[in-house]
Amino acid sequence: MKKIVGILVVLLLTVAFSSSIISAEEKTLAVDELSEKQTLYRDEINVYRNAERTFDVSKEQYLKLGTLASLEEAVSSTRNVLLARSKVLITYLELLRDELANQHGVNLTEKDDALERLDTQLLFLKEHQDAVLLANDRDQLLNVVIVFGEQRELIEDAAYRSRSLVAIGKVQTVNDKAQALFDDIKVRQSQDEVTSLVTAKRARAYDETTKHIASTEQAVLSVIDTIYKKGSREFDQSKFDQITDNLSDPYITAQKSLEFLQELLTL
Amino acid sequence: MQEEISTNQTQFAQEEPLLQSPGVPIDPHLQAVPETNTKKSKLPFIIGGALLFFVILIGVLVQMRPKEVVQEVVELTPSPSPILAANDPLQVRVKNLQMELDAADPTVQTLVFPPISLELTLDKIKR
Repeated sequence: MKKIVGILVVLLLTVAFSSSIISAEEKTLAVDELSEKQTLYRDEINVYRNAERTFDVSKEQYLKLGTLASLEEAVSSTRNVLLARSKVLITYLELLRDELANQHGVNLTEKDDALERLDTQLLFLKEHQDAVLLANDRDQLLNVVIVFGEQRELIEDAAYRSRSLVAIGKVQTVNDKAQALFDDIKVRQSQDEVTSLVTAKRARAYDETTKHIASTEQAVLSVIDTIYKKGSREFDQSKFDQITDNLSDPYITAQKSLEFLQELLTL
Repeated sequence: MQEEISTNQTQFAQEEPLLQSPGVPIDPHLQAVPETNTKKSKLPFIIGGALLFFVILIGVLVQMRPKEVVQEVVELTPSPSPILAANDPLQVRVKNLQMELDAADPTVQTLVFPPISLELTLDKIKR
């Protein structure tokens, strides 16, 4: 019987130890992968810039000369720049997808919806990339460009929607953690033997901190309401800018809450 | 003419006190002078001592004077704050949260939309 118990304990310890090693390895892999993707993104942007410059020159030459050689050059450079652009967009949306997927403090329904939109656009961009590779002449390239133009707003919507949710999620996460930390501070301070003067001082500080944390929560909810209930449900640069402006209120109250928590520890 | 010189040493030794010069007679006036000097040199010490005595006396009198009643002002000072260790887990959590909040600053934009043209085309699109 003792042997069985001993074996079970050893097995449990082995499983716990190996799972912690695996999770640490997974974390390291995720960080490495993110770093690689960021480097790839920067490289792709550089390639795109060069391709765009070449495209501008060859297009100008073609419009100026109108020769078959200049057309050939222009078609080739158009294909190159479209390919470079699709690669940049794919890597960018993948980076956004990873960031949103790992972001806490976001409403799950909204998060899933945004992730789905990103996946849809990623799929489109990969198809677009294939279509560009297959396009041999200016007409085929023009068709590819027309299809991309129709999808453009949806790509921007997916990107700005994700960025908005990430920005909201970051502030919300800090507030959630501030609430948890505040609870823990109260628990620890409840075990202290202090004078009635200090107790009264702490009670007032608790009230003020509670108000600030609640106020941050309310301000974040108000930002979310503004996004989804008023006006267009589409996301673009101007809407994103408006959201970040509105987020300054909860950000400032969250900052104040953390200052209060810092002070509370010295009471 | 030569003087008769006695060579008897025993006689000389016996008569020696008589042959000695009588020395200087002691003048009683001269002996009184040092006494007067001693008295004069003590005078500053006496005056100084008297002065010191008066100073001390004045000091004692000042100290013994009835003091004015000074109302004690009780200043309310904050109670000493508990010293927090740098590795206090709650303190560490506050610091980490402050860093997380810095990263959440909405004015600092991360992953901005790539600086690319979404309108690249060789031929104009007919609408």
